[in-house]
Amino acid sequence: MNTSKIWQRMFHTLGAAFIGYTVLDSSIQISVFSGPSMEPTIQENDIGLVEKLTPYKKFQRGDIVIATSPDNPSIQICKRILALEGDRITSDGSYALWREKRVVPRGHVWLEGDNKDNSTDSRQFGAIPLGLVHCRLLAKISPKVEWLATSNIPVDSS
Amino acid sequence: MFNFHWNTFLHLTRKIHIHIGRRCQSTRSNETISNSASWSTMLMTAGFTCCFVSILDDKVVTYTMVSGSSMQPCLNPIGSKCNDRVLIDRSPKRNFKKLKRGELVIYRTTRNPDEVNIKRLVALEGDTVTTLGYKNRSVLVPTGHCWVEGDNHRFSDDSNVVGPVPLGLISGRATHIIYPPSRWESICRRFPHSRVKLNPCEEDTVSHLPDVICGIS
Repeated sequence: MNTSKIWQRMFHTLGAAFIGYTVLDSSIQISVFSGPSMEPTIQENDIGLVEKLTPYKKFQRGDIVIATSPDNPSIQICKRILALEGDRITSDGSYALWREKRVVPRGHVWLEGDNKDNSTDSRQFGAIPLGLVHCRLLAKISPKVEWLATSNIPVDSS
Repeated sequence: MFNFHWNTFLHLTRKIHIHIGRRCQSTRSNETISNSASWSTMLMTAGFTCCFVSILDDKVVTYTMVSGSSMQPCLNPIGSKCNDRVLIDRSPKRNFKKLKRGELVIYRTTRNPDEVNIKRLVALEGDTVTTLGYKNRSVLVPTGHCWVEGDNHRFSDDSNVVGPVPLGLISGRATHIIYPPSRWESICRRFPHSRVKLNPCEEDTVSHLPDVICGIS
């Protein structure tokens, strides 16, 4: 094998790695979860597969999504979409800081954790803009593989 | 019937094979190898360049066209022939501490996530703003949020309409005007001193800035 061939092979390997990184960076990622807010669906240190290809308008009620926290832009939160724009939300009284009915404004979503007793979510900071929502959880791959993308939600609070 | 077709197909493919084989034989073996190598290298270079540009565009620097009159007279001043193009620095996306008051930022609007606006960052968390036509006369910007305003208040859909904007929506800051060439300049930081009371816990970093020049009022 001569030198030019080695260079060529090196270039190809690096190029493939770079292209792979770019494609994966904008499509599918693996992330580790922490915190109790999505129990029992997601436990501490579970590993999940998330995708970033869903356009903003295509998010549905019941999707588990990852969003930037509106309180602190360097933190990502993982919650379930409970309501989309125009939906009416009533407090269930368990964690209520407010009692009246609320309508989710245009371009916003209502996020709540599955663990209602221990979750900082839209019940504290209100509906969040869709622009903060980045990616959708497809599946859990550790400790066991489980498909989560099309799950039904409890529709008691909308 | 089927057999017949299949046979003709096979026959054809064999013919093509022979054809290709002859062409390969006619050239010297060395040449064919170098030819194929250059093709794959070219493809790889194209892919590499595309990815490099897309990452550069998303994470480092990009440029965008500004339309609309909400930032007059800073951008798209009256009488200019074409829309301004501005250079966007993506560093605030990674580190929100780098945002400074008075800069122009681009952000996804809260009403429509597919729409990106450019406005002046007037106040950061903890500041108190005297608003222009918002439901409250004076607003304390909550943590993780900022207050953005267009220079031309009349024609601007900004925080005076929708309230404080989460910092997570900001995707870059505009640093230079790059087109048209006659307006090639860096964008000046400006600050409305009379209307914003700074966060008492922070140092004063804006007192030297010139006041905002408002558009048509």
